Amino acid sequence: MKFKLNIQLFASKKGVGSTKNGRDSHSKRLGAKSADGQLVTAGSIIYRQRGTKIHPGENVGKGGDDTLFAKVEGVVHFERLGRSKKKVSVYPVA
Amino acid sequence: MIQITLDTQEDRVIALTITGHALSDDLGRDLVCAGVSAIGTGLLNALDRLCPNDYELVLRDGENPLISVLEKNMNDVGKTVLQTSLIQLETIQESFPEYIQIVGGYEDEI
Repeated sequence: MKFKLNIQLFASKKGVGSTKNGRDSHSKRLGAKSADGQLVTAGSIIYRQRGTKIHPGENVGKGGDDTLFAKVEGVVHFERLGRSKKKVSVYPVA
Repeated sequence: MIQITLDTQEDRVIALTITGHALSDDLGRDLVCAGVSAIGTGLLNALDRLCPNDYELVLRDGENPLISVLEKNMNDVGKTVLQTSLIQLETIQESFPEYIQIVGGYEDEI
């Protein structure tokens, strides 16, 4: 044959093609829901998270999805826990 | 997109060029490219073997690939071969219109 077949003659030589990515989940609106110094009621959600980016401190509970909530009415305080961790506490107003 | 350009006169194709990139998939998996490449190269070999002096035949590989057929002398066998190849290309184009465009051609169907 005079003309040899290149089966990919009309393919892009740069390997351009489809991507296998392009998917992501919906955002879950995590993060702080109460600010430092804010007065909150018992049961108020303070911080939504996955895992414990912030640990529960005094008068703060942790839900099954790691949500931190106030156990009592009081003022929110974000504090350090040890060297590199953080916690949040609620202190009742006298 | 692969672009197929036709020049016709009366009832025959007098010039045909195939250019572009199918981009239907990655290199090595591009099935549309494979189909057009096979039909185009087969067309060149058929014309070269059956009516060697009646067509100017060009195949260019690389980043800007090209298949070109240009009639030099009228030939009934060549006319039939070209019509057959055109129908084959139209068959692929019908299933993959987003990857192949055919420009020019007959006003009526072959």
